[in-house]
Amino acid sequence: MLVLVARPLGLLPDGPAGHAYIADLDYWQRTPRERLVRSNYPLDLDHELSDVPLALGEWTGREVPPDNVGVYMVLEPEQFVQRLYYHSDGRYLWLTLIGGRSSRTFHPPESCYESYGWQTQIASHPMELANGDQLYGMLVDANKADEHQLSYYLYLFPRQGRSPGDGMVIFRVTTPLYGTTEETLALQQDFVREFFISAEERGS
Amino acid sequence: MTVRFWTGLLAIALLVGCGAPKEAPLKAAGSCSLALPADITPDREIWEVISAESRFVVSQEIEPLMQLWSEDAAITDTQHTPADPSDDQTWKGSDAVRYRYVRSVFPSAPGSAQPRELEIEISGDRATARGTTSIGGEVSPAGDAWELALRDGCWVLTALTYNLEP
Repeated sequence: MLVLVARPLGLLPDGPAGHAYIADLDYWQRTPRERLVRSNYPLDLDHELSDVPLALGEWTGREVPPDNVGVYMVLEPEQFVQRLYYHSDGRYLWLTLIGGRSSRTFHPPESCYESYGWQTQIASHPMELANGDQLYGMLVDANKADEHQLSYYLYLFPRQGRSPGDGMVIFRVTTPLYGTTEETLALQQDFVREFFISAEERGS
Repeated sequence: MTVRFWTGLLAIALLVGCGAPKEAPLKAAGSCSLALPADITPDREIWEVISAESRFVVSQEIEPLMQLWSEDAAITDTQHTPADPSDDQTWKGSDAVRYRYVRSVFPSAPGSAQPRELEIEISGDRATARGTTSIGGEVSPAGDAWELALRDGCWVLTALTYNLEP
């Protein structure tokens, strides 16, 4: 473990152990929810985020261009992936991956809801991975008139130092409410498990 | 002498190795995290907690700030429409409370912040405090409603509802 922490995490060799990253609720400061995660797919700026497969387990995706080009121009992301994935049961999920090396690229997702007059409730939420590890992200529960969405997101860093020059990636999944909140989160968890293998507490 | 020394050392090592792992000491919470006099009145103790919240916002000290709050705390921005919850923004739980401070409050870097004209009401192990907060040049008359709970002898913040003024 000491070797893993001491080495630049993003430079760990690919293999069965997966790609290693630091995941956290936020990028301004470390939080107690920081985890060392392993992903099935590279999620850093040394790789093309668009290389994430369109076929993921029971999910099949397609590319969706940014719906607000103006915002895209202002944020100036280095990489941007937006996809719509359909589960084999017909339910769908939006995946957003945004990579950059400047804080201007990363505004809190809830601010978009707020600016359009949505009611939001923000809380941390642990997704349970297949091995039982808990991967914490922020969960935005957003309502407006008859619309209800849940959006789960976290930040990924290739190195524990979190140097802006190394870049970071926001991993975000969004769905409409399917049944109960718990049922919707179970659907999102199924998708998150396609990416993340483990999430160790730092120092463990 | 040497035998006794090594025997003693071995005994100490065994004792240390076999001892039950100690739990990490609990962090003092709420008012107990502040160096307050023992004979302080409950009203003054609550005032000190809310005042410390303002002080730590200005100094941007997130850890002592978070010690004032309960794990299940919530903060709600009513957007100046307290009668209409449809546009409320709520941060629920200590992770979200921390997130709000770091992402929304600290970047504005207020040079000063302090509660004013607090009206404190205590009912058993619960308390409310309605007041005006002055952050930098911005004054929110009667815009804040605090809720506190007495837990293990310490007053902790459990909720803040703000932007209550029209």
